[in-house]
Amino acid sequence: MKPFAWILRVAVAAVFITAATTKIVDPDAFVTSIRTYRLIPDGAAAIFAVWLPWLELCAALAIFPRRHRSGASWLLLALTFVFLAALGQAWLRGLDINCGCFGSAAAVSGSAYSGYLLRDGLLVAVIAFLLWQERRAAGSSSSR
Amino acid sequence: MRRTTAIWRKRAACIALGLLAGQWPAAATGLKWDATEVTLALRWNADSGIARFTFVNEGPGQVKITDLTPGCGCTAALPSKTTFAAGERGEVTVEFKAGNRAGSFRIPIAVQTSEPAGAATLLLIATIEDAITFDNRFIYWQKAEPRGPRRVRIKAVDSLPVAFGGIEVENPAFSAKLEPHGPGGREFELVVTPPAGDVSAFTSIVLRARLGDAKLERAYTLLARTL
Amino acid sequence: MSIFRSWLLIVGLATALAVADTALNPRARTVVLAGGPPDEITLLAARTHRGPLLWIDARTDAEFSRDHIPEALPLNADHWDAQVAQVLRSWQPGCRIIVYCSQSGCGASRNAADRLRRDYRLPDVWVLRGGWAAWEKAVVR
Repeated sequence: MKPFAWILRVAVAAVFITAATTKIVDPDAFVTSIRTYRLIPDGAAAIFAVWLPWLELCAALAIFPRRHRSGASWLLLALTFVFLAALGQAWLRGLDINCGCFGSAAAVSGSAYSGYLLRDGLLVAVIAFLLWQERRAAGSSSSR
Repeated sequence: MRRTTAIWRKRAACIALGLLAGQWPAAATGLKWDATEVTLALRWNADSGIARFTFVNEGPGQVKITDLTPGCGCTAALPSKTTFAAGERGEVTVEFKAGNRAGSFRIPIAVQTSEPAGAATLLLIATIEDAITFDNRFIYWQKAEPRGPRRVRIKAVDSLPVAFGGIEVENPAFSAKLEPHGPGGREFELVVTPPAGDVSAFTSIVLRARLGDAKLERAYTLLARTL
Repeated sequence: MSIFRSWLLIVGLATALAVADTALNPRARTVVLAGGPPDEITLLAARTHRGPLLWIDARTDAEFSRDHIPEALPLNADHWDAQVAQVLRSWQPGCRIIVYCSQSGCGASRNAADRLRRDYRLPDVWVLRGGWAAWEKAVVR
């Protein structure tokens, strides 16, 4: 189970690190993407656009050291839920958005939403599995 | 202790970011504009419209408007007079000529005054109603995408009688036809069929329409492309 | 408790890095300081963009023929239909469009960008901050 969990962990980290670095490199594109969601005021979107990728990067890297693993996993889970909620509300409001998920300005509208929602859903499932697996490992080691 | 430091570090960073993102409004001297942004809405058949930017001279002395430069040849800006005494109200009138335009236009008007700090930029946001709206004026088929017909929804503004005179398709490899959509005769669908096979092609499609009881002639161009 | 400490550490570190990024990286700084219209792009961001890019010159034909950004296409309200056809012939899916006019505050580039987005449904359309003046300044420098 352990190598499998490690592979998943590396995969999750890779997803978030890729997402974060593309956004850090091109903050202009990301701020525009955030604004297409029409959730927060423009000034806040600008700060968010610079801060969020660093948060993703730090959280992604922090899932490797054992001390911070579960904190980082919970944070990544929360972040993914936030992304899901943002995408979901945009879908319900029928907005044409730029996903901004990986920094690029890929247009999302209509049927394209389901793919993005599915991807985030999968990410939630993987992180939740890792958290469950960790908790089980912690339980077995403390009972030993 | 370490936790408190972390919290304060975070707070300090938030405050710093907040300050960075803040905007400091310039101190008002001389002419104080009631609004530097004015919107003007025009019906589809209007030739022109007038917007007014009003102000009051709040400065201690008289102020002279030395120059008014609109950012578009479609506008003419005139002050009610050139010199304003302290406390006096005035206005700048901006005439916008619609021509054949439709949609929303932002036209900046640069104001220079005798007072060095009195320069301002006014913004006229003119919206000209579209007599006919298209849900899209550019349709394309990606490489390897099935080359089936595509539909463009066309809608006339409320209570406007529309008669379409004809469709001109520049590239004969494409074909286009107009179909009524729903009751009332004000909604249509343009059905565009691309050339069969994996060829890249481009065409413009010109729709000629006669609008209103005066049967004003307008031409609308749509574009279609296979990649 | 240890989860809470991890959160503090991660959030604190991310904030510190974001502040450093804002201070040291001009692109991040312009984003934080921008506060301007949502679709403006800086010249630096435009020039470092990887991927296909299409420059659109929204100034008058006379200004365009005097000088323009290399490979830019003209697009102004006077000859819109003919010029937009040329733009859409050159455009490819995934291509970023950057529209400019003479300087900051000129409305032509924003008007053209709005029309490209609204009427032609192009997704990745930006307005160059500072316009042609910013380009000229950067090239002269």
